[in-house]
Amino acid sequence: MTNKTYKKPKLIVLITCIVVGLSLVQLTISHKLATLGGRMSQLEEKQEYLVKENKKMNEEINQMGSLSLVSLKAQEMGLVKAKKVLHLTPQIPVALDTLKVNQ
Amino acid sequence: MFANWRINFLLVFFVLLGLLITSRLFYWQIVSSESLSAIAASQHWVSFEVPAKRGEILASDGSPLVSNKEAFLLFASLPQINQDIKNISEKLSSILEPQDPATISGLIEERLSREDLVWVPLKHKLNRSQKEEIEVLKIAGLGFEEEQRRTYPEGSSSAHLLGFVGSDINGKDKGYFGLEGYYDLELRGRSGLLRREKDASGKPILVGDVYKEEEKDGRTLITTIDRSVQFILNDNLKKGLKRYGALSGSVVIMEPQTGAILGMASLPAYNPEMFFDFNKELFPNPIIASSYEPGSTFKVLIMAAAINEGVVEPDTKCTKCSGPRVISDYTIKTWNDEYFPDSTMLEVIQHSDNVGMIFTAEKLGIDNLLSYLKKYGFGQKTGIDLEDETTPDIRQEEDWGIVDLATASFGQGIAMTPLQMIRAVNTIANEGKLVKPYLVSKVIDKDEEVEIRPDIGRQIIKTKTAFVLTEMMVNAVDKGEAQWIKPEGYRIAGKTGTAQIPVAGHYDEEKTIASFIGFAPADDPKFIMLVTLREPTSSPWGAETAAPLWFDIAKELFTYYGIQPQ
Repeated sequence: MTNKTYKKPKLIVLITCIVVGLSLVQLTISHKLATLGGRMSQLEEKQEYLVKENKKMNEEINQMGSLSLVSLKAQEMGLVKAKKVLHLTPQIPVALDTLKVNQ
Repeated sequence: MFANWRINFLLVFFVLLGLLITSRLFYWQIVSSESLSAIAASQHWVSFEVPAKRGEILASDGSPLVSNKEAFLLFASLPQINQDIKNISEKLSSILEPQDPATISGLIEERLSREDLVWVPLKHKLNRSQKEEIEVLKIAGLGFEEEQRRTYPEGSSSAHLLGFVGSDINGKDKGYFGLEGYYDLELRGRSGLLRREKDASGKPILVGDVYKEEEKDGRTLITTIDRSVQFILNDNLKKGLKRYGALSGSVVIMEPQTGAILGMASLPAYNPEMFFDFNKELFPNPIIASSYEPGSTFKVLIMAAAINEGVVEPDTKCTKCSGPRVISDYTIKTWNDEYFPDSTMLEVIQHSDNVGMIFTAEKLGIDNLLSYLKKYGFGQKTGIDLEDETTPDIRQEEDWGIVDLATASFGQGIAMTPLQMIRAVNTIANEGKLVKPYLVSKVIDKDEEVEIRPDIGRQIIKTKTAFVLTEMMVNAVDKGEAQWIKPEGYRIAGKTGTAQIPVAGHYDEEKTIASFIGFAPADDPKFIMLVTLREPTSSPWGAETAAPLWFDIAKELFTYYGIQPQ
């Protein structure tokens, strides 16, 4: 009987401490997180900006890599199409040419 | 008594007060609950659509044929407009339509004058410079929303092949014609939704609730188009149209063994980015949506059928080739009125001899001819993955007469699309098998990559027949009318064609469709190509217009593919 009366207040105090402690932790975290909304907005804006810049660069690459543009630039630089193509007769490498190896 | 009165008064007062509060609560919680909830939600929730990116269309090497670039929707928030509407309309029109402001000023005025709306869209797909010009005007009530527009790095060179993106009845992007139309569902994707709690200044509350419905970007298509081949054929076609004074022209190049389209172009074309500035008649792809009478290029198909059925051999002599033929009151001559008595079937193809072909077709018979037309795929769509494919019908069996058999033998009185024609002649290049032409080899999205395997096709003519016909076509190129322009050292199987154009029940004497179909190298074909020129003015003949253009393109392809002369 005496033991019981000693245990009860300890348990209550412990639970109260935990509840109060956790509440304080939650309050602190919530407080910190709530103020980070502005920072998040900034990061989102930065992300959006970088995505846009990336898109723009992709567009530029696509335009600059188009064969029509390359051809036009080549003409401006004085390059012309080869009028005659010289075909070289493919030859067997010496090591694989059995006739030469046997000589 | 007095005390009772006071108690009763208070009782009534509190009952009435209770009723008043109850009725007010009833009004707030039952009658107006939805609208009040919505107002509350709008005060602490922010939601916005996360647009899906439309899929790209890539060439076989991964370079973009169609991509996306940023664009803007100009809108007006009507309650905030505080300037004269006419004045705003004038300012905006000169930026949005600098060439012809009148076309849009009326529409802007009408939209800005609406009293039943608070938000109106004014113009879609503005570019960045237009947006910046409008921002400088500092007109209250105008705003922008980001969207995308299609961009075509190679301009109009593949317009018919790609199609374009316009709007559907709800103002949403929709693909029309070509690949954009055929694969619209795969390309468009699905927009997402982001909904989260915000604080009084509009910033997100990190500990608040967030609901996110992920957007699904459109799938990317990898095509079989080789952009170098596409560039070569487009460049040469432009020059060819000018050189031969043709009204229009088309070139299609296919891989014989698989049916993969390597290049496809028709001129005149349109700019798919500015499609609204062009005549709608230019939108359908002539290679799959226009029919033509193939003329002499068709002879190789009739000859293949006759040899395959064993009714003639390459050395069979034509016993009715000494002069014009009279069939059902029609006199049929050769193209140059020259006749070769006792010519062999090899020579019939070499001379492109109409009367020789009538002899062959008579040996084949109407039933066999019709059976082969079906086997070659005429009268049916090829099944290519392009939106606007059509097919001209083939006459019913009972409508075929002896004169129809005769004219069909040299490719007149029968219509087809250029794609049907190249597919049919490809049976000769592909050892007798009929392939299904296709353009998309892979469909890619974030999670998976689907490969589209070619349909290797069914055997239409025997392999031996295909080889025999290949030799006949090589002979036609080496010794026929187009021999003067053939590149030296290459074995090319080909056939010229000159077809008259049917006009109101008869053939126009002056106007022709010149064509050349062929494949190379003949013994192991890397490509098959069909060139058609409508109404060339420098010469009506295929041998003097379409054939030189074919060989010009082929020469560049030989260099590109590293094909050596033999």
